[in-house]
Amino acid sequence: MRFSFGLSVVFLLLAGCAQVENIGHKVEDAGRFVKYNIQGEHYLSRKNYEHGYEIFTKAVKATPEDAQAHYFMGRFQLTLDKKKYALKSMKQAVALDPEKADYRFWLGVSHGENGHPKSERKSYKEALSLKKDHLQALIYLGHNQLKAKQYKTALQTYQKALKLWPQSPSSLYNRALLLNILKRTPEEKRAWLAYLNLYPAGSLARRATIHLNRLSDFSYRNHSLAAREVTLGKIRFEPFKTKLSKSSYLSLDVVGATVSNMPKGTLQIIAYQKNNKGLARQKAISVKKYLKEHFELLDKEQRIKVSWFGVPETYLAGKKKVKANESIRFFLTDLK
Amino acid sequence: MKQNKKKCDLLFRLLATVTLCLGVVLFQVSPVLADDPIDGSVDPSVGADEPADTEEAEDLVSNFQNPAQAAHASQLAGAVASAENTAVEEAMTDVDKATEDLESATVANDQDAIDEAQEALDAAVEAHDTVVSNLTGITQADIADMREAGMGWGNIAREIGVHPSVIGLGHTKDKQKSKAGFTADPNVGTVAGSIQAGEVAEATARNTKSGYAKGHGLAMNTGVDSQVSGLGIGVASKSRGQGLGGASGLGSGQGQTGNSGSRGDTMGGGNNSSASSPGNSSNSSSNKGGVAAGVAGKDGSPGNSGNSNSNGKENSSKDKSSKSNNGKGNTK
Repeated sequence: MRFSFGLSVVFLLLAGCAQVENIGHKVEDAGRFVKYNIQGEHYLSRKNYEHGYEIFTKAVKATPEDAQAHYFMGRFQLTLDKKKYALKSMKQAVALDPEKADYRFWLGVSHGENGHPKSERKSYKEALSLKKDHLQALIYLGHNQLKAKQYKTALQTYQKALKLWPQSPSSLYNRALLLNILKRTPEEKRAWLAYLNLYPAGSLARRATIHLNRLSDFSYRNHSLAAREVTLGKIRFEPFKTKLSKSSYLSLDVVGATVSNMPKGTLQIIAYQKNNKGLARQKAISVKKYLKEHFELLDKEQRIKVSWFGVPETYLAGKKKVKANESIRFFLTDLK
Repeated sequence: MKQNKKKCDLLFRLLATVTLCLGVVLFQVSPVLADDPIDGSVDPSVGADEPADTEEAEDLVSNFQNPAQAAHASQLAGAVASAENTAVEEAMTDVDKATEDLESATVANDQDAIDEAQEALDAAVEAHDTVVSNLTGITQADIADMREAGMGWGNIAREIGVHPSVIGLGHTKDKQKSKAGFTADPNVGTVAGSIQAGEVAEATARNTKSGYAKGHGLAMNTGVDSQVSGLGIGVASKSRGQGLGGASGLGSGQGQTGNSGSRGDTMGGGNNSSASSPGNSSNSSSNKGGVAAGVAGKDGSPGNSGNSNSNGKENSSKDKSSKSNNGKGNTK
């Protein structure tokens, strides 16, 4: 009796120890998870990629069974353009923890970077099967489908992404691009405007503007300011007046600031108004007046000149010749 | 009889006065009419809302006499602007040389030489930034920001809308090859319609740092360089907080106050997180709203991930954007 009681006590003690050891492991795992997560995100957000890479090289050596260590290692390898190694790391992370949608997504990115479009697509789809609203996976799946010429499918994918994030820049841009390819012109015009209303600057904005102008919409235009090509919103005026619309201030600020930052150059403002030279003149004067008031240097140095014509403006949008019945155009002379 | 004569006289005087008044009115209007040879009519709005600067308006003459003359001047200006610029080429050569010196010093592990080379490189980069700023009208601070954001010179040139040679990239072919922007994705073939393969490649480029987009809406805002005399100091710095490229293009959300600020938030927020959910890696359940809310940040992400609050709609963007979007405040 005593013997069996003693045996039970010993057994219980041993079981208790094992339990404690288990709990200990779990606490250790959780602690490591938090630590790696904080470290990884910290170095990524600070763009301290080299340091992050060093930290996770050590982490992978210390805890080779830890999926997150491999995952962050892969992330830093991607930032440092170590594509092949990144793919290895991401594969390892997915193998150790196949249920993480993020790991699958970044495995897809790694495949893409290594030129494996089919595996890339598969990974994004797997990420989405684990988490159907994985935004990055949706956007990148759209990219992959677009490049694979699966145009209708890509459009659907981007639409899903836009439901999650209506301002997604690449989804907005590529939706317009796909509507162009699919020849859905009226929708295409609206899509370019939706993109440009949010992202009116930079290389893709200039491309979007050319597409928009090609469809005879001049809400945005690319202007040559000395060596630069800058996208500007249409200079608008209050209805039946020559007073500038407030919506045009930002475009004029871009023009004024750009010219002010250049030590040389005379800003030419050209107003076109079909069959109404008088109105063209007044509009040109309004624009000059705004710039003079807001950019004193331009006024002081008399660097603004105006011209006006009672005819539509004809110009090239990409390769297409287009006509704008009323417009304000800017360019710089006297650059040398 | 006398009364009739008096009446006639009065009538005559009245007619003469009316004729005189009409003459004066016609004399005043005639310059406007004469100004419009196309249809001889004037928009009813013209004159009703004269710009305040009427003194100048009266004296002002059109700088170019016809559209052809303006087009010709524009073409000439374009040719001058894109002509080779020795100053920028020399500045870029100096940067390249200083970079090589620093690399050599680093290999030799000579700390004094490294410090010296670093100093020389910083000076060369600053000199190059100044030349580029003068040529493009973009503030030096914004150029520096773009570089700090990891953009190569080729990408900077493309983003701000200049030919790479304008910022000195054409001076050695190899350098130009390695630096000049993206190369077409080999997986992309010919694309239908007016879409070229290069455009698809650019629009679908992967961002291996954030997992979002590359290069949308960079080069924004309307900063004037604080070094430009007579213009407000601190203008450019305001715009810097918002994103890249002051003075370089339209800000986001034109006419939509409150949007553009979210761009600037992205770096601090850990937006390049592992998170799939919009905005936040570690709080995926709580931040759908964050996605739907913001315009993309510098790295093309929704902008405010990583924050524990995670609803991320505007984050700190509201007050920032109000600064960036009210053009007036930024420019004086």
